[in-house]
Amino acid sequence: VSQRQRFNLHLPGLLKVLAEHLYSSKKVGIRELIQNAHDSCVRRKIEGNEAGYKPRIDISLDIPRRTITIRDNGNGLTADEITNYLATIGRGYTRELREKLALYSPAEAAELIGQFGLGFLSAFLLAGEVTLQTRSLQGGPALRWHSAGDEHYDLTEGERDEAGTTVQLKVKPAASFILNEQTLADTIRTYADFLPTPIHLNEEDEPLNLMVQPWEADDPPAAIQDYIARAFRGTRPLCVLPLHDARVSLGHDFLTVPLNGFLFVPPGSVASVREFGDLSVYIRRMFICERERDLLPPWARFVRGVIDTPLLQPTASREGIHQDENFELVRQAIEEQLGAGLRELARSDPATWKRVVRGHADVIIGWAVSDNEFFERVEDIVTFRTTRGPLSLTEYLELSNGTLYYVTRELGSLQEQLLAEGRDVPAIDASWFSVTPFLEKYAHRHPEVNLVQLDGEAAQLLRPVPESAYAALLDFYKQLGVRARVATFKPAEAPALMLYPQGAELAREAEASLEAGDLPGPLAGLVHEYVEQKFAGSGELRGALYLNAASTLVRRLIDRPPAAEVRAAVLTLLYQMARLFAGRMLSAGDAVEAFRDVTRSLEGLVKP
Amino acid sequence: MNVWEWVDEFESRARADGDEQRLRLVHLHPEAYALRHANPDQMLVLCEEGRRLAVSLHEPWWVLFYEHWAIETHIYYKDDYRHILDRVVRATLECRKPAYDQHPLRFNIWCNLVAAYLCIDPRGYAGQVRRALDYLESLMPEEGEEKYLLLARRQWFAWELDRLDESEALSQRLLALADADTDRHLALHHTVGVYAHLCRLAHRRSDWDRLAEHAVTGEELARRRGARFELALFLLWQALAARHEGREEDARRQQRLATAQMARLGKSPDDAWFDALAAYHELGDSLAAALRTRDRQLELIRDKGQFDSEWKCRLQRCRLLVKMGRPVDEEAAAAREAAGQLRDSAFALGQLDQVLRGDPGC
Repeated sequence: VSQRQRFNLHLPGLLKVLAEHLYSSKKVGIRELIQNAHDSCVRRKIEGNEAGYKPRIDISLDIPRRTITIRDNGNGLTADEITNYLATIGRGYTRELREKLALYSPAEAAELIGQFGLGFLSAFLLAGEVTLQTRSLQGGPALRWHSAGDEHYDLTEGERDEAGTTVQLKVKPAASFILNEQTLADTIRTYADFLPTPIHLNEEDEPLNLMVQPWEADDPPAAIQDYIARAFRGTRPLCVLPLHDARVSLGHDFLTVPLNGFLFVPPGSVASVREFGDLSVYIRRMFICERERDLLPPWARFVRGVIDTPLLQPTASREGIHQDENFELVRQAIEEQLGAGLRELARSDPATWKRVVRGHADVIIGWAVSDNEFFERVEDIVTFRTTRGPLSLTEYLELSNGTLYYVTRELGSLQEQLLAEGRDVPAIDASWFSVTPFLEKYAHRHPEVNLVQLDGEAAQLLRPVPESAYAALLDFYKQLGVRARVATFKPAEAPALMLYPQGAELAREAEASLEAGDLPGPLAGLVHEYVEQKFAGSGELRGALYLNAASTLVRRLIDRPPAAEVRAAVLTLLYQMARLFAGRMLSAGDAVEAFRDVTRSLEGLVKP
Repeated sequence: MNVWEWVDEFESRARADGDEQRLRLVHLHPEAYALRHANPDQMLVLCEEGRRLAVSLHEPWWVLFYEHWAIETHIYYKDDYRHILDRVVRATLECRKPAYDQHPLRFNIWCNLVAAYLCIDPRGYAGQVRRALDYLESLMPEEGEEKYLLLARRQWFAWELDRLDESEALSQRLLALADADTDRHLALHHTVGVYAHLCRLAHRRSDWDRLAEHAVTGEELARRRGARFELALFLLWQALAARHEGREEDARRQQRLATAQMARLGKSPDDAWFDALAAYHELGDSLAAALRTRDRQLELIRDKGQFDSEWKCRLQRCRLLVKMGRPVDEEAAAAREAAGQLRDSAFALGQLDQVLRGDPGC
């Protein structure tokens, strides 16, 4: 049987869903009611044609009676309008008015905010009962509308002398937090700071909201700075990039993206790597959301900003925005203006650009590793922590004669730093994970630059020498089972150093674990593969002792050899001192053994 | 106690104590995880911050927690395997210590030890991987996420060894597991991954009806889960299926959507994406575009320790060059070199020979 039938609506259920589940924050109720009040004022301005009309919204709080009252001197509502719009879910007068105005008066249309005809329901997020008193500019009696949030409402004669609407919320216990003047004021500011209608709280003379967007102020740069300081907790930005309407190519045509606002770079924090890359988003001056991250390109983690564009489409709750084609156009426009702004900053104000790059070095290093174009822009500016303080690579390379020496371990790299300083070059601290790939990329792009990882490749700082003259010393160590070599290195004051390959600690721990059998067999198999692959039979894990041919002590052992006993004691001391100084690959047992040997050798040297 | 129960308990304690630093330790993870597709580099930054904070607060379980997430980021979101064995072996050794006996991520860390070898060279280490998977299966608890993790790796392993029936059977087991799971969020999370795999399987078997079906289902699930990376992938699979059905306009629209979606992500496309995109171009008789797709893939995977992916990509490039009638010697030499990075290159070289002979079955 073919039948065409209507859906049935279960109104109480629908009301509950819309009022309680559409929005994530109860405070949104305040936003929606302010916006209705504002739209009503705009409507009066458009339809009333009254000279000298001054729109105004008053909000008052009565804590003992648990009420919040929002009063406007807008157009008010007739009985028909209450039935057709206020009490009809999904139909809003504002949307219909905007659609009418869109063609012949787009500027007036743009002042209207309401879209979905759902906003009034949000009053029930905060209130158990809502009472509305209204008188329409079009005439007719004052009306009183009252609802307790179920499917019924009462419409009776009201008490109001002049045109406009008053909404009174009887705040329910679950929303008691809003019965606090500061919370209410913050909520009003958050949502309606840029709304052009003045909002007065508790009959204060001065409106609570700014009313003018900072980029529309008489002195936009100063107003933006003030706004950032106020809205972003005292931040003094390193630079501000104003945004403007943008022409975006669609391939076959161009489209103008209406865009207002600004981006800014906050000062970097020394201690934290937390970054932002987020925007506060307004649509037609009404706050929608903060910390929107997808509108900025992924690399812009050091940028924040505020934008207002009517092109974005809010979700029904207007707490977020749809990621549709318009979203993509706005994103593209912002990315282009940000890129152009930063390029211009780098060109025209290199000092500030340096502060931006250096203030956000950790994040910028990470970003540059994956973005070639940006890498080029920052490679010679960004600074790295070195043993001589922060240095750019250009500054560093001037000191190091074309080689980058870096250390990746967080701890225990004193020996490598000593070697570097012995060569009169600083060592770069590459313990931050993105520094090594950055340096590798730099070296790849500049073939004339050498890259030396000191922990693991420190032997590159040693200059080999013919070892035949040192055979006696090397033989001694050979008998002890110690791999020993002779080289020249700085500082000459260091007679011997112990060098281990990169990752030696991990491999040793893995070996020990395999020997002890404290890993489950099948997993041990995979760990064994790792050790085999990394250090296949090289015996390197034990490390190598390097005697310094530049040391007067080492030379004296060769040129004027002491008695065999003394030489043995000195060589033992050199070996154990080098092990202990290296601070690597020492178990507690190793350390005890080293100290025992040191003591025994010293006793041998001082015995009568 | 599963990991999230432990985290919740830790958070409650920190909140009760008014301990802002420990609360930050808890909150860094969701902040990092939310960036997995949009900006994996930043995810890594936050994991590193979490690890350092845990060290400074003397919270060894949290050090291991953030190390685990850094490993996850490298394997699954950055596809960077250069130092992955160092990290995952270090974490495996760390969690063998008695202090971590009850650490809720021990199983996950062991799973990632296996995953690291699956990423780098699954055939080369097949014996060890199989034994490790069998062992992990013997430890698998009845409840919780561990079953998904293990079966997903078995599914992956079977795929890498071209045991497609086994891989599909494992996918079906995963779907059954998800269907019965009372944790709907967890079930949805893993179901998205299973459908992504089923699309690959259907494509490999040229089962176009199933491909279209799985891609549509996958899209719906990915949207529900907010899985943006997978969403792009499902759209692309739909484009490929539409092109196969001759719905050219649909195909192009879907491909544009997929590409735009993927371009918005900071995570690089993976092998499945490039396979789908190259197949899409090839099906449209645009071999040059398919080759360009493989160029881009190669550019992304080179020097990231992706030995297995690199030789497979080069193999596909050789196949395309042969098909286009273009000189292939240089690419074949590069493919041999890439195969040489594998533990046992015989299989790879055999495949290459087949391709160079123009064997269409390869």
